[in-house]
Amino acid sequence: VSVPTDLGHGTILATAAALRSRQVRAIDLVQAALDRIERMDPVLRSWVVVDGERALAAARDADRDLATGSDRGPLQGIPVAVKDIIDAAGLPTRCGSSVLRDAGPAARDAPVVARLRAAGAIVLGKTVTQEFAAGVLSPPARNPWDPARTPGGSSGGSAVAVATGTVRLALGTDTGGSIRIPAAAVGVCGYKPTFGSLPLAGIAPLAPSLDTAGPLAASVADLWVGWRALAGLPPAPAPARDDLRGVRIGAPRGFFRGRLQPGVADAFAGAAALFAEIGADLVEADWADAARARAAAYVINRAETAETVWRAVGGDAPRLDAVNADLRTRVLAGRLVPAVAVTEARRARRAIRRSIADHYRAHRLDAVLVPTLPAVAVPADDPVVRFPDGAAENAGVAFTRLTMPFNATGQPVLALPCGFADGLPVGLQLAGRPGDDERLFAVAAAWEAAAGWHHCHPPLPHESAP
Amino acid sequence: VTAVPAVALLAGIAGVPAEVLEDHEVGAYFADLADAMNQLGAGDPALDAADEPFDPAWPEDAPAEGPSQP
Repeated sequence: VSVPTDLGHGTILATAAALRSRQVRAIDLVQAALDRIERMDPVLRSWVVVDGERALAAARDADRDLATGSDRGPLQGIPVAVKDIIDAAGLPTRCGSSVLRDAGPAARDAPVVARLRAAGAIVLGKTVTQEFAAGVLSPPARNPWDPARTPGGSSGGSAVAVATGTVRLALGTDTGGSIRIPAAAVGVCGYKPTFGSLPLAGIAPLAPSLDTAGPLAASVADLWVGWRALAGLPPAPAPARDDLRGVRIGAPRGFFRGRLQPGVADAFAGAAALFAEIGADLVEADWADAARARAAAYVINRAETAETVWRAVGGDAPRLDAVNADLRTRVLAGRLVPAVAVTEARRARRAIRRSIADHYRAHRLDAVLVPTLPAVAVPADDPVVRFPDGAAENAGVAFTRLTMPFNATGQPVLALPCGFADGLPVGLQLAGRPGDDERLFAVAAAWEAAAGWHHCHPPLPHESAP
Repeated sequence: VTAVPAVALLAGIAGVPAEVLEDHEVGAYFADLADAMNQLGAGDPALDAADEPFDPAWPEDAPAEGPSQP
């Protein structure tokens, strides 16, 4: 294990080893993260609140504990970030909304945060989310690869915190793609675990029958460490394999490949080819229900979001004027969605879950490989995706098109960086079978090792572009 | 009750100001929703699968020839 020379971009396991050999201290890690925030956040605006004093105190405790042989595993002394819809004791949860600007500090940690702390992680602060996690732009956060662009959302601040090496691990949530979308937009890894596998207490709901918490990290190995802790599982070596011989990966075209920006299509094609080069059998089988799955998730999302945000404003229509205009429309209109639409969408979702299971079985698939986004990150002042044929699509629709189907199915999905287009990151999704996390991580790790995209980091604002 | 008051009553039940019904953006919202409903394929016999028992954890889903390498 090499000692991390850059405190921002050393892996969790390498950093953990350096902490134990006393080549670095937890307090150095926290101080380096605080310095990085001070340097970058005036431009990238990805943090809502930084809990520097308590983080430094926790770091001193971690250093003392490690020095006395009290070892809680690889996350001990590692700074982490928490999306601001998730409770962290002592910090307010404002959900990116002026409606909650006077929220007091949370009395206790959400269970997912408590599990990270129990594993020794140090909560550095709260990161920017789109208001109530309902959207894909995460204002005012900006993309470190091009600060004129958005980092995606709604877990945009967490993705930026990882991409810049401020933290190695961050918490996000995913209802329609909110972990995977920013992961793709800023070039980091994200994991939407199997629906229902992580506790959601202490997390502001958006669409409860779709909501999933999960980690963002700089590599598959780091993501594995984070996911194990979030799931309340003891640390374990990351599953590994030298190649992908014998692994069958579905590579559907149709819905998932029909409308992509050319640079995204090229980067994704290269990524898919690499899966084959290292031994995977790529199975070009379309899943006929992909559009139906997206539609089911969309309708359910619209109805449930309207209800949760309505409750968050106390059921007071005038108070809703304080939320952004798009969300206000979404809530008011969402309250008028006919019950028959919701019942049909829920019925369709049940059929879709059977359909995707049948698809995996029929083709003997271990995973399905598709792009995460049809486009690169959009400009913050013009959040529209444009295609060469002149078509333009609202980013909120375009960015969730390829992610929402998997919220309907509830499958676990890993999002990985897979190249660049026009100097901006491109991402892929690897969707596995429910509960089959270990196989999914092993496949992803083998591909990541061959591809190496996780070694690419954006220039920090004070640095020049490569 | 005529059609227009019925819509207004519906908005009232939902706690939504009646003028929202005239909002262009709300119209666009329902246009998108209508598209989604079309994609759902309501009435498609394939959706009858929804009414059959199924465990979302896919327990019946072991590949016919067994899983590939773990």
